[in-house]
Amino acid sequence: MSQETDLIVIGGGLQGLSTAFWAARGGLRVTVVERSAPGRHASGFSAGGVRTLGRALPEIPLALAALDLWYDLPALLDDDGGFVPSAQVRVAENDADTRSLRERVATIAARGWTHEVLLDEAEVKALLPAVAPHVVGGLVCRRDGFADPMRTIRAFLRAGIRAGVSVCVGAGVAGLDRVQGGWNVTLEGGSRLRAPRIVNAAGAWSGRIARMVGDDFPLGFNALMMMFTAPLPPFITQVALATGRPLSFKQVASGHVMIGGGPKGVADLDTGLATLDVTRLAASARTALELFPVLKDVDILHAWAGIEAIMPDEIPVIGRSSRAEGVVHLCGFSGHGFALSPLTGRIVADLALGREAACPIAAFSPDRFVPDGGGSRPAGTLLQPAG
Amino acid sequence: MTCVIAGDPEGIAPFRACFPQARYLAATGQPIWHGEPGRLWVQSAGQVRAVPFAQLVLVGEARLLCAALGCRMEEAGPATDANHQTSRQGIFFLRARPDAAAVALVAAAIARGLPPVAVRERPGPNGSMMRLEPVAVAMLLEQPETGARDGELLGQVALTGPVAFCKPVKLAALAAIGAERPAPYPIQMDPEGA
Repeated sequence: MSQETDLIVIGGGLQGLSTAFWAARGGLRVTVVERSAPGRHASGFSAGGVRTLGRALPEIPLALAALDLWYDLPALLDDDGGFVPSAQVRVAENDADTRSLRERVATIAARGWTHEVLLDEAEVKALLPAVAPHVVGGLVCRRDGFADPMRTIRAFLRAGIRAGVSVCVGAGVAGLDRVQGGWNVTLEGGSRLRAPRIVNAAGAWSGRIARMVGDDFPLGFNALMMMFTAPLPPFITQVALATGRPLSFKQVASGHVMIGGGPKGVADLDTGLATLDVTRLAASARTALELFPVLKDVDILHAWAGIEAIMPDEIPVIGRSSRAEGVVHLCGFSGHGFALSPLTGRIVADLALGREAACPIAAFSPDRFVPDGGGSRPAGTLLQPAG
Repeated sequence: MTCVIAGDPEGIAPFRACFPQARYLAATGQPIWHGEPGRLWVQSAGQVRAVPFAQLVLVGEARLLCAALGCRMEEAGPATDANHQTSRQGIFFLRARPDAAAVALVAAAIARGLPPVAVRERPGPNGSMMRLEPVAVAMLLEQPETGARDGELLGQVALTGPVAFCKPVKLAALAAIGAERPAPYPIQMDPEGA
Protein backbone atom coordinates (compact mmCIF):
# COMPACT_ATOMS: atom_id res chain seq x y z
CA MET A 1 0.00 0.00 0.00
CA SER A 2 1.49 3.33 -1.05
CA GLN A 3 1.07 6.56 0.80
CA GLU A 4 -0.39 9.17 -1.57
CA THR A 5 0.82 12.72 -1.94
CA ASP A 6 0.88 15.36 -4.68
CA LEU A 7 4.63 15.82 -5.04
CA ILE A 8 7.64 13.83 -3.89
CA VAL A 9 10.88 15.78 -3.71
CA ILE A 10 13.91 13.49 -3.70
CA GLY A 11 16.71 15.18 -1.78
CA GLY A 12 16.60 17.29 1.36
CA GLY A 13 19.30 19.74 0.41
CA LEU A 14 18.65 23.41 -0.09
CA GLN A 15 17.30 22.96 -3.63
CA GLY A 16 14.87 20.26 -2.55
CA LEU A 17 13.73 22.10 0.56
CA SER A 18 13.22 25.33 -1.38
CA THR A 19 11.17 23.46 -3.99
CA ALA A 20 9.09 21.81 -1.27
CA PHE A 21 8.46 25.15 0.43
CA TRP A 22 7.28 26.86 -2.76
CA ALA A 23 5.21 23.88 -3.90
CA ALA A 24 3.45 23.67 -0.53
CA ARG A 25 2.73 27.38 -0.72
CA GLY A 26 1.27 26.67 -4.15
CA GLY A 27 -1.19 24.26 -2.62
CA LEU A 28 0.46 20.88 -3.14
CA ARG A 29 0.82 18.17 -0.53
CA VAL A 30 4.59 17.64 -0.55
CA THR A 31 6.82 14.93 0.86
CA VAL A 32 10.59 15.30 0.89
CA VAL A 33 12.58 12.07 1.05
CA GLU A 34 16.17 12.48 2.21
CA ARG A 35 18.58 9.56 2.43
CA SER A 36 20.62 11.06 5.24
CA ALA A 37 19.79 14.36 6.96
CA PRO A 38 18.74 17.74 5.55
CA GLY A 39 21.73 19.55 4.09
CA ARG A 40 24.06 16.63 4.75
CA HIS A 41 26.16 17.11 1.63
CA ALA A 42 26.73 20.01 -0.79
CA SER A 43 24.22 22.41 0.79
CA GLY A 44 25.64 22.10 4.27
CA PHE A 45 29.25 22.38 3.11
CA SER A 46 28.70 25.39 0.86
CA ALA A 47 30.76 28.55 1.26
CA GLY A 48 27.45 30.41 1.40
CA GLY A 49 28.21 32.92 -1.33
CA VAL A 50 25.28 34.97 -2.62
CA ARG A 51 26.82 36.08 -5.86
CA THR A 52 25.63 37.60 -9.10
CA LEU A 53 29.23 38.39 -10.09
CA GLY A 54 30.76 36.31 -12.86
CA ARG A 55 27.76 34.12 -13.49
CA ALA A 56 27.47 32.12 -16.67
CA LEU A 57 25.26 34.13 -19.02
CA PRO A 58 22.20 31.85 -18.78
CA GLU A 59 22.41 32.07 -14.97
CA ILE A 60 22.44 35.87 -14.81
CA PRO A 61 18.64 36.43 -14.91
CA LEU A 62 18.24 33.78 -12.23
CA ALA A 63 21.04 35.14 -10.06
CA LEU A 64 19.62 38.67 -10.18
CA ALA A 65 16.09 37.50 -9.35
CA ALA A 66 17.41 35.20 -6.60
CA LEU A 67 19.35 38.07 -5.05
CA ASP A 68 16.09 40.01 -4.60
CA LEU A 69 14.68 36.98 -2.79
CA TRP A 70 17.68 36.91 -0.41
CA TYR A 71 16.85 40.47 0.61
CA ASP A 72 13.21 39.37 1.11
CA LEU A 73 14.06 36.18 3.02
CA PRO A 74 12.96 37.42 6.48
CA ALA A 75 9.48 38.14 5.16
CA LEU A 76 9.40 34.85 3.29
CA LEU A 77 10.85 32.46 5.88
CA ASP A 78 10.80 34.44 9.11
CA ASP A 79 14.59 34.06 9.11
CA ASP A 80 17.27 35.81 7.05
CA GLY A 81 19.46 32.72 6.71
CA GLY A 82 22.33 34.76 8.08
CA PHE A 83 22.40 36.80 4.87
CA VAL A 84 24.89 39.64 4.99
CA PRO A 85 24.81 42.14 2.11
CA SER A 86 28.39 42.53 0.99
CA ALA A 87 30.01 43.43 -2.29
CA GLN A 88 31.76 40.65 -4.19
CA VAL A 89 34.95 41.79 -5.87
CA ARG A 90 36.99 39.94 -8.46
CA VAL A 91 40.56 41.21 -8.53
CA ALA A 92 42.84 41.44 -11.56
CA GLU A 93 46.45 40.48 -10.92
CA ASN A 94 47.89 41.34 -14.33
CA ASP A 95 47.05 42.75 -17.76
CA ALA A 96 45.57 39.48 -18.96
CA ASP A 97 43.16 39.46 -16.03
CA THR A 98 42.23 43.08 -16.71
CA ARG A 99 41.49 42.31 -20.37
CA SER A 100 39.36 39.36 -19.30
CA LEU A 101 37.32 41.54 -16.93
CA ARG A 102 36.85 44.26 -19.56
CA GLU A 103 35.65 41.67 -22.07
CA ARG A 104 33.26 40.31 -19.48
CA VAL A 105 31.71 43.71 -18.82
CA ALA A 106 31.36 44.35 -22.56
CA THR A 107 29.74 40.94 -23.05
CA ILE A 108 27.10 41.41 -20.40
CA ALA A 109 26.54 45.10 -21.20
CA ALA A 110 25.71 44.10 -24.76
CA ARG A 111 22.86 42.05 -23.27
CA GLY A 112 21.63 44.88 -21.08
CA TRP A 113 23.16 43.95 -17.72
CA THR A 114 24.99 46.58 -15.72
CA HIS A 115 25.38 44.94 -12.32
CA GLU A 116 29.10 44.20 -12.78
CA VAL A 117 31.23 47.33 -12.58
CA LEU A 118 34.91 47.68 -13.48
CA LEU A 119 37.30 49.09 -10.87
CA ASP A 120 40.66 50.67 -11.58
CA GLU A 121 43.67 50.04 -9.36
CA ALA A 122 42.95 52.92 -6.99
CA GLU A 123 39.30 51.95 -6.66
CA VAL A 124 39.99 48.29 -5.91
CA LYS A 125 42.63 49.21 -3.33
CA ALA A 126 40.27 51.68 -1.70
CA LEU A 127 37.66 48.94 -1.49
CA LEU A 128 40.12 46.23 -0.36
CA PRO A 129 42.87 47.98 1.60
CA ALA A 130 44.51 44.67 2.53
CA VAL A 131 44.88 43.42 -1.03
CA ALA A 132 48.40 42.80 -2.36
CA PRO A 133 50.28 45.62 -4.12
CA HIS A 134 50.43 43.75 -7.43
CA VAL A 135 46.64 43.89 -7.91
CA VAL A 136 45.84 46.25 -10.80
CA GLY A 137 42.06 46.39 -10.98
CA GLY A 138 38.84 44.57 -10.41
CA LEU A 139 35.18 43.98 -11.00
CA VAL A 140 32.50 44.50 -8.36
CA CYS A 141 28.87 43.61 -7.71
CA ARG A 142 27.88 45.79 -4.81
CA ARG A 143 24.52 44.20 -3.96
CA ASP A 144 25.87 40.65 -3.50
CA GLY A 145 26.50 39.03 -0.14
CA PHE A 146 26.87 35.79 1.76
CA ALA A 147 24.79 33.70 4.17
CA ASP A 148 25.02 30.80 6.63
CA PRO A 149 24.35 27.56 4.78
CA MET A 150 23.03 25.45 7.69
CA ARG A 151 20.94 28.33 9.00
CA THR A 152 19.43 28.78 5.55
CA ILE A 153 18.72 25.06 5.27
CA ARG A 154 16.99 25.05 8.65
CA ALA A 155 15.03 28.18 7.72
CA PHE A 156 13.66 26.56 4.55
CA LEU A 157 13.02 23.31 6.44
CA ARG A 158 11.02 25.07 9.18
CA ALA A 159 9.13 27.23 6.71
CA GLY A 160 8.32 24.20 4.59
CA ILE A 161 7.02 22.27 7.58
CA ARG A 162 4.90 25.27 8.57
CA ALA A 163 3.47 25.22 5.04
CA GLY A 164 2.60 21.54 5.42
CA VAL A 165 5.63 19.75 3.95
CA SER A 166 6.39 16.25 5.29
CA VAL A 167 10.07 15.39 5.54
CA CYS A 168 11.25 11.77 5.72
CA VAL A 169 14.89 11.51 6.80
CA GLY A 170 16.98 8.37 6.52
CA ALA A 171 14.82 7.57 3.51
CA GLY A 172 16.93 6.64 0.51
CA VAL A 173 15.18 5.85 -2.75
CA ALA A 174 15.51 2.21 -3.82
CA GLY A 175 13.26 2.30 -6.87
CA LEU A 176 10.97 4.43 -9.01
CA ASP A 177 8.17 2.82 -10.99
CA ARG A 178 5.81 4.44 -13.46
CA VAL A 179 2.23 3.59 -12.56
CA GLN A 180 -1.14 4.79 -13.74
CA GLY A 181 -1.32 8.48 -12.94
CA GLY A 182 2.14 8.90 -11.50
CA TRP A 183 5.05 7.28 -9.78
CA ASN A 184 5.62 4.76 -7.04
CA VAL A 185 8.70 5.57 -4.98
CA THR A 186 10.09 2.61 -3.05
CA LEU A 187 12.27 3.62 -0.13
CA GLU A 188 15.24 1.60 1.08
CA GLY A 189 13.27 0.48 4.13
CA GLY A 190 10.64 -1.02 1.84
CA SER A 191 7.86 1.53 2.36
CA ARG A 192 6.26 3.19 -0.64
CA LEU A 193 5.04 6.61 -1.59
CA ARG A 194 2.97 7.51 -4.61
CA ALA A 195 2.56 10.84 -6.37
CA PRO A 196 1.80 12.17 -9.83
CA ARG A 197 4.92 14.34 -9.75
CA ILE A 198 8.54 13.91 -8.69
CA VAL A 199 11.34 16.43 -8.36
CA ASN A 200 14.85 15.04 -8.59
CA ALA A 201 16.97 17.23 -6.30
CA ALA A 202 19.33 14.54 -5.09
CA GLY A 203 22.53 16.54 -5.58
CA ALA A 204 25.50 14.45 -6.66
CA TRP A 205 23.24 11.39 -6.60
CA SER A 206 20.77 12.91 -9.07
CA GLY A 207 22.27 10.97 -11.97
CA ARG A 208 21.23 7.76 -10.26
CA ILE A 209 17.68 9.04 -9.79
CA ALA A 210 17.56 10.23 -13.40
CA ARG A 211 18.57 6.79 -14.66
CA MET A 212 15.79 5.21 -12.60
CA VAL A 213 13.23 7.15 -14.67
CA GLY A 214 15.00 6.55 -17.99
CA ASP A 215 16.86 9.87 -18.26
CA ASP A 216 20.57 10.24 -18.59
CA PHE A 217 22.69 13.38 -18.54
CA PRO A 218 26.44 13.64 -17.91
CA LEU A 219 26.26 14.51 -14.24
CA GLY A 220 29.61 14.11 -12.50
CA PHE A 221 30.72 15.19 -9.09
CA ASN A 222 33.65 16.63 -7.14
CA ALA A 223 34.60 17.26 -3.53
CA LEU A 224 35.01 21.03 -3.28
CA MET A 225 37.31 22.00 -0.41
CA MET A 226 37.37 25.03 1.85
CA MET A 227 39.34 26.24 4.86
CA PHE A 228 38.87 28.50 7.86
CA THR A 229 41.78 30.35 9.45
CA ALA A 230 42.08 31.44 13.05
CA PRO A 231 40.40 34.80 13.71
CA LEU A 232 42.13 38.01 12.65
CA PRO A 233 41.25 41.63 13.32
CA PRO A 234 38.76 42.86 10.71
CA PHE A 235 40.46 43.61 7.39
CA ILE A 236 37.86 42.86 4.71
CA THR A 237 34.07 43.07 4.58
CA GLN A 238 33.67 42.05 0.93
CA VAL A 239 33.95 38.63 -0.67
CA ALA A 240 37.07 38.60 -2.84
CA LEU A 241 37.63 36.41 -5.87
CA ALA A 242 40.60 36.01 -8.18
CA THR A 243 40.40 36.09 -11.96
CA GLY A 244 43.10 33.84 -13.40
CA ARG A 245 43.10 31.26 -10.64
CA PRO A 246 40.47 29.87 -8.32
CA LEU A 247 39.89 31.75 -5.09
CA SER A 248 36.93 32.82 -3.00
CA PHE A 249 37.82 34.66 0.17
CA LYS A 250 35.87 36.30 2.96
CA GLN A 251 36.14 37.22 6.62
CA VAL A 252 33.13 36.40 8.77
CA ALA A 253 31.93 38.39 11.78
CA SER A 254 33.99 36.32 14.23
CA GLY A 255 37.18 37.27 12.37
CA HIS A 256 37.79 33.83 10.88
CA VAL A 257 38.70 33.90 7.20
CA MET A 258 37.16 31.42 4.78
CA ILE A 259 39.26 30.39 1.82
CA GLY A 260 37.73 28.37 -0.98
CA GLY A 261 36.79 28.79 -4.56
CA GLY A 262 37.53 25.55 -6.24
CA PRO A 263 40.29 23.26 -4.96
CA LYS A 264 39.02 19.72 -5.16
CA GLY A 265 39.48 16.63 -3.06
CA VAL A 266 38.21 13.17 -3.82
CA ALA A 267 34.57 12.19 -3.33
CA ASP A 268 33.03 8.77 -2.90
CA LEU A 269 29.35 8.57 -3.83
CA ASP A 270 28.88 5.18 -2.19
CA THR A 271 30.15 6.20 1.25
CA GLY A 272 29.17 9.85 0.96
CA LEU A 273 32.59 10.83 2.29
CA ALA A 274 35.12 13.24 0.83
CA THR A 275 38.89 13.06 1.23
CA LEU A 276 40.90 16.28 1.40
CA ASP A 277 43.77 16.77 -1.03
CA VAL A 278 46.36 18.63 1.01
CA THR A 279 48.50 19.61 -1.97
CA ARG A 280 45.55 21.35 -3.61
CA LEU A 281 44.58 23.04 -0.35
CA ALA A 282 48.16 24.26 -0.30
CA ALA A 283 47.70 25.86 -3.73
CA SER A 284 44.61 27.61 -2.43
CA ALA A 285 46.54 28.80 0.63
CA ARG A 286 49.26 30.12 -1.66
CA THR A 287 46.78 32.11 -3.77
CA ALA A 288 45.18 33.55 -0.64
CA LEU A 289 48.53 34.53 0.84
CA GLU A 290 49.76 36.10 -2.38
CA LEU A 291 46.61 38.21 -2.63
CA PHE A 292 46.29 39.00 1.09
CA PRO A 293 49.72 39.18 2.77
CA VAL A 294 47.96 39.91 6.09
CA LEU A 295 47.57 36.12 6.34
CA LYS A 296 51.30 35.48 6.71
CA ASP A 297 51.24 34.52 10.37
CA VAL A 298 47.79 33.01 10.70
CA ASP A 299 46.95 29.37 11.41
CA ILE A 300 44.49 27.29 9.45
CA LEU A 301 42.11 25.61 11.86
CA HIS A 302 39.62 23.74 9.75
CA ALA A 303 39.28 22.31 6.27
CA TRP A 304 36.34 20.45 4.79
CA ALA A 305 34.89 19.25 1.54
CA GLY A 306 31.37 18.74 0.26
CA ILE A 307 30.30 16.51 -2.57
CA GLU A 308 28.92 18.66 -5.35
CA ALA A 309 27.20 17.63 -8.56
CA ILE A 310 29.07 18.96 -11.58
CA MET A 311 27.92 19.28 -15.18
CA PRO A 312 30.46 19.47 -18.02
CA ASP A 313 29.29 23.01 -18.90
CA GLU A 314 29.13 23.99 -15.20
CA ILE A 315 25.52 25.16 -15.31
CA PRO A 316 22.66 23.27 -13.65
CA VAL A 317 19.99 20.96 -14.93
CA ILE A 318 16.57 22.58 -14.43
CA GLY A 319 13.59 21.32 -16.33
CA ARG A 320 10.95 18.73 -17.00
CA SER A 321 11.98 15.34 -18.25
CA SER A 322 11.06 14.82 -21.88
CA ARG A 323 10.81 11.06 -21.36
CA ALA A 324 9.34 10.60 -17.91
CA GLU A 325 6.04 12.41 -17.47
CA GLY A 326 5.69 14.18 -14.15
CA VAL A 327 9.42 14.27 -13.41
CA VAL A 328 11.34 17.54 -13.00
CA HIS A 329 15.12 17.62 -12.57
CA LEU A 330 16.88 20.20 -10.38
CA CYS A 331 20.56 19.37 -9.96
CA GLY A 332 24.09 19.84 -11.30
CA PHE A 333 24.74 23.28 -9.85
CA SER A 334 28.47 22.71 -10.17
CA GLY A 335 29.40 24.31 -6.89
CA HIS A 336 27.46 27.54 -7.17
CA GLY A 337 23.80 26.74 -6.55
CA PHE A 338 23.51 28.11 -3.03
CA ALA A 339 22.74 31.67 -4.12
CA LEU A 340 20.18 30.53 -6.68
CA SER A 341 18.28 28.18 -4.38
CA PRO A 342 15.49 30.53 -3.17
CA LEU A 343 14.55 31.11 -6.81
CA THR A 344 15.30 27.75 -8.44
CA GLY A 345 13.04 26.03 -5.91
CA ARG A 346 10.26 28.39 -6.93
CA ILE A 347 10.88 27.77 -10.63
CA VAL A 348 10.73 24.02 -10.18
CA ALA A 349 7.66 24.24 -7.96
CA ASP A 350 6.00 26.17 -10.79
CA LEU A 351 6.96 23.46 -13.26
CA ALA A 352 5.57 20.80 -10.92
CA LEU A 353 2.35 22.83 -10.64
CA GLY A 354 2.05 22.84 -14.44
CA ARG A 355 2.99 26.49 -14.78
CA GLU A 356 5.71 28.00 -16.90
CA ALA A 357 8.96 29.12 -15.31
CA ALA A 358 9.16 32.79 -14.41
CA CYS A 359 12.76 32.96 -15.71
CA PRO A 360 14.32 31.57 -18.89
CA ILE A 361 15.51 28.00 -18.30
CA ALA A 362 15.96 26.57 -21.79
CA ALA A 363 19.75 26.60 -21.36
CA PHE A 364 19.43 24.24 -18.40
CA SER A 365 17.47 21.58 -20.26
CA PRO A 366 18.11 18.01 -19.10
CA ASP A 367 18.36 17.15 -22.81
CA ARG A 368 21.03 19.66 -23.74
CA PHE A 369 23.71 17.00 -24.06
CA VAL A 370 21.57 14.79 -26.27
CA PRO A 371 23.21 15.00 -29.75
CA ASP A 372 20.43 17.15 -31.23
CA GLY A 373 19.72 18.93 -27.97
CA GLY A 374 21.74 21.98 -29.04
CA GLY A 375 23.89 22.17 -25.93
CA SER A 376 27.19 24.03 -25.74
CA ARG A 377 29.29 25.76 -23.10
CA PRO A 378 27.83 29.18 -22.43
CA ALA A 379 29.90 32.06 -23.75
CA GLY A 380 31.36 34.85 -21.63
CA THR A 381 31.74 32.72 -18.52
CA LEU A 382 34.41 33.63 -16.02
CA LEU A 383 35.97 31.18 -13.60
CA GLN A 384 33.12 30.55 -11.17
CA PRO A 385 34.10 29.84 -7.59
CA ALA A 386 32.32 27.25 -5.53
CA GLY A 387 29.66 28.49 -3.18
CA MET B 1 57.56 1.25 3.99
CA THR B 2 58.01 2.87 7.33
CA CYS B 3 56.63 2.04 10.71
CA VAL B 4 55.80 5.34 12.41
CA ILE B 5 55.36 5.72 16.15
CA ALA B 6 53.85 9.00 17.27
CA GLY B 7 52.69 10.63 20.47
CA ASP B 8 54.07 12.41 23.47
CA PRO B 9 57.78 11.60 24.09
CA GLU B 10 57.07 9.75 27.32
CA GLY B 11 54.43 7.56 25.68
CA ILE B 12 56.46 6.51 22.66
CA ALA B 13 59.72 5.87 24.53
CA PRO B 14 58.94 2.22 25.47
CA PHE B 15 58.83 1.27 21.77
CA ARG B 16 62.40 2.34 20.99
CA ALA B 17 64.03 -0.92 22.05
CA CYS B 18 61.56 -3.08 20.14
CA PHE B 19 61.37 -0.89 17.02
CA PRO B 20 64.80 0.68 16.50
CA GLN B 21 64.14 1.19 12.77
CA ALA B 22 60.83 2.96 13.23
CA ARG B 23 60.37 6.65 12.62
CA TYR B 24 59.42 8.51 15.80
CA LEU B 25 57.29 11.65 15.76
CA ALA B 26 57.18 13.38 19.10
CA ALA B 27 54.09 15.51 19.50
CA THR B 28 56.16 18.26 21.05
CA GLY B 29 58.54 18.74 18.11
CA GLN B 30 56.72 17.34 15.09
CA PRO B 31 52.98 17.59 15.67
CA ILE B 32 50.73 15.73 13.28
CA TRP B 33 48.08 18.16 11.98
CA HIS B 34 46.37 15.89 9.50
CA GLY B 35 46.25 12.26 8.53
CA GLU B 36 44.94 10.22 5.64
CA PRO B 37 45.27 6.49 5.01
CA GLY B 38 49.00 5.78 4.49
CA ARG B 39 50.17 9.33 5.09
CA LEU B 40 50.57 11.77 7.95
CA TRP B 41 51.10 15.51 7.65
CA VAL B 42 53.49 17.00 10.20
CA GLN B 43 54.65 20.52 10.95
CA SER B 44 58.06 21.42 12.28
CA ALA B 45 60.35 24.45 12.09
CA GLY B 46 57.72 26.36 10.16
CA GLN B 47 57.42 23.77 7.42
CA VAL B 48 54.91 21.07 6.58
CA ARG B 49 55.71 17.72 5.06
CA ALA B 50 54.11 14.37 4.42
CA VAL B 51 55.27 11.25 6.26
CA PRO B 52 54.17 7.99 4.65
CA PHE B 53 53.59 4.96 6.81
CA ALA B 54 52.86 1.28 6.47
CA GLN B 55 52.24 0.74 10.17
CA LEU B 56 51.34 3.45 12.64
CA VAL B 57 51.36 3.34 16.41
CA LEU B 58 49.66 6.29 18.15
CA VAL B 59 50.09 6.86 21.87
CA GLY B 60 48.02 9.34 23.86
CA GLU B 61 45.35 11.76 22.69
CA ALA B 62 44.81 10.99 18.99
CA ARG B 63 41.07 10.61 18.62
CA LEU B 64 40.62 13.18 15.85
CA LEU B 65 43.59 11.75 14.00
CA CYS B 66 42.20 8.23 14.29
CA ALA B 67 38.89 9.45 12.91
CA ALA B 68 40.71 11.13 10.02
CA LEU B 69 42.49 7.86 9.30
CA GLY B 70 39.16 6.09 9.00
CA CYS B 71 39.32 4.12 12.25
CA ARG B 72 35.97 3.10 13.69
CA MET B 73 35.19 5.32 16.63
CA GLU B 74 33.45 4.69 19.93
CA GLU B 75 32.60 7.20 22.61
CA ALA B 76 35.90 6.76 24.42
CA GLY B 77 37.98 6.81 21.24
CA PRO B 78 38.91 4.43 18.47
CA ALA B 79 37.73 0.85 18.86
CA THR B 80 40.72 -1.45 19.36
CA ASP B 81 41.22 -5.19 19.68
CA ALA B 82 43.29 -7.06 22.25
CA ASN B 83 46.47 -6.16 20.33
CA HIS B 84 45.59 -2.45 20.45
CA GLN B 85 44.94 -2.53 16.71
CA THR B 86 42.16 -0.25 15.47
CA SER B 87 39.63 -1.28 12.84
CA ARG B 88 42.25 -0.24 10.26
CA GLN B 89 44.91 -2.88 9.73
CA GLY B 90 48.33 -1.64 10.75
CA ILE B 91 47.09 1.32 12.82
CA PHE B 92 47.46 0.87 16.59
CA PHE B 93 46.23 3.13 19.36
CA LEU B 94 47.20 3.16 23.05
CA ARG B 95 45.64 5.68 25.39
CA ALA B 96 48.69 6.02 27.67
CA ARG B 97 52.34 5.03 28.03
CA PRO B 98 52.34 1.28 27.41
CA ASP B 99 53.92 -1.35 29.63
CA ALA B 100 56.22 -4.06 28.26
CA ALA B 101 53.36 -6.48 27.67
CA ALA B 102 51.45 -3.97 25.56
CA VAL B 103 54.55 -3.19 23.50
CA ALA B 104 55.05 -6.92 22.93
CA LEU B 105 51.46 -7.35 21.74
CA VAL B 106 51.81 -4.52 19.26
CA ALA B 107 55.17 -5.84 18.07
CA ALA B 108 53.78 -9.33 17.52
CA ALA B 109 50.75 -8.04 15.64
CA ILE B 110 52.96 -5.92 13.37
CA ALA B 111 55.48 -8.73 12.80
CA ARG B 112 52.78 -11.20 11.84
CA GLY B 113 50.64 -8.71 9.94
CA LEU B 114 47.63 -9.66 11.99
CA PRO B 115 44.34 -8.33 10.67
CA PRO B 116 42.29 -6.41 13.19
CA VAL B 117 39.72 -8.42 15.06
CA ALA B 118 36.28 -7.42 13.83
CA VAL B 119 34.72 -4.97 16.24
CA ARG B 120 30.98 -5.07 16.59
CA GLU B 121 29.38 -2.09 14.87
CA ARG B 122 28.10 0.48 17.32
CA PRO B 123 26.41 3.80 16.80
CA GLY B 124 28.76 6.74 16.54
CA PRO B 125 29.27 8.96 19.57
CA ASN B 126 26.89 11.80 20.33
CA GLY B 127 24.69 10.94 17.39
CA SER B 128 21.92 13.26 18.55
CA MET B 129 24.16 16.31 18.36
CA MET B 130 23.24 19.24 16.15
CA ARG B 131 25.35 19.77 13.10
CA LEU B 132 27.57 22.82 13.34
CA GLU B 133 28.40 25.40 10.72
CA PRO B 134 32.04 25.14 9.59
CA VAL B 135 32.96 28.33 11.44
CA ALA B 136 31.64 26.81 14.67
CA VAL B 137 33.78 23.73 14.04
CA ALA B 138 36.74 26.05 13.50
CA MET B 139 36.00 27.74 16.82
CA LEU B 140 35.99 24.37 18.56
CA LEU B 141 39.27 23.38 16.93
CA GLU B 142 40.73 26.65 18.17
CA GLN B 143 40.06 25.72 21.79
CA PRO B 144 42.62 23.84 23.90
CA GLU B 145 42.51 20.09 23.44
CA THR B 146 40.35 18.60 26.14
CA GLY B 147 38.20 15.52 26.38
CA ALA B 148 35.08 17.67 26.26
CA ARG B 149 36.22 19.52 23.16
CA ASP B 150 37.16 16.34 21.34
CA GLY B 151 33.89 14.73 22.41
CA GLU B 152 32.00 17.54 20.70
CA LEU B 153 34.16 17.24 17.62
CA LEU B 154 33.65 13.48 17.51
CA GLY B 155 29.92 14.18 17.58
CA GLN B 156 30.41 16.09 14.34
CA VAL B 157 32.48 13.19 12.99
CA ALA B 158 29.48 10.95 13.60
CA LEU B 159 27.27 13.34 11.63
CA THR B 160 29.45 14.29 8.70
CA GLY B 161 32.69 12.27 8.71
CA PRO B 162 36.23 13.10 9.81
CA VAL B 163 36.95 16.62 11.06
CA ALA B 164 40.13 18.30 9.82
CA PHE B 165 42.58 19.44 10.99
CA CYS B 166 43.74 17.61 14.09
CA LYS B 167 45.92 20.59 14.98
CA PRO B 168 46.32 24.11 13.55
CA VAL B 169 48.78 24.47 10.70
CA LYS B 170 50.50 27.66 9.58
CA LEU B 171 48.90 28.99 6.41
CA ALA B 172 52.27 30.22 5.15
CA ALA B 173 53.84 26.80 5.71
CA LEU B 174 51.07 25.12 3.77
CA ALA B 175 51.24 27.76 1.04
CA ALA B 176 54.96 27.06 0.65
CA ILE B 177 54.23 23.60 -0.76
CA GLY B 178 51.41 24.81 -3.03
CA ALA B 179 51.66 25.04 -6.79
CA GLU B 180 50.69 28.38 -8.34
CA ARG B 181 48.17 26.86 -10.74
CA PRO B 182 47.69 23.12 -10.25
CA ALA B 183 46.11 21.30 -13.17
CA PRO B 184 42.32 21.17 -12.78
CA TYR B 185 41.13 18.07 -11.02
CA PRO B 186 38.92 16.14 -13.43
CA ILE B 187 35.21 15.75 -12.85
CA GLN B 188 34.56 12.38 -11.20
CA MET B 189 31.95 10.21 -12.90
CA ASP B 190 29.66 7.74 -11.19
CA PRO B 191 30.93 4.22 -11.95
CA GLU B 192 27.38 2.99 -11.43
CA GLY B 193 26.26 4.82 -14.56
CA ALA B 194 29.25 3.93 -16.73
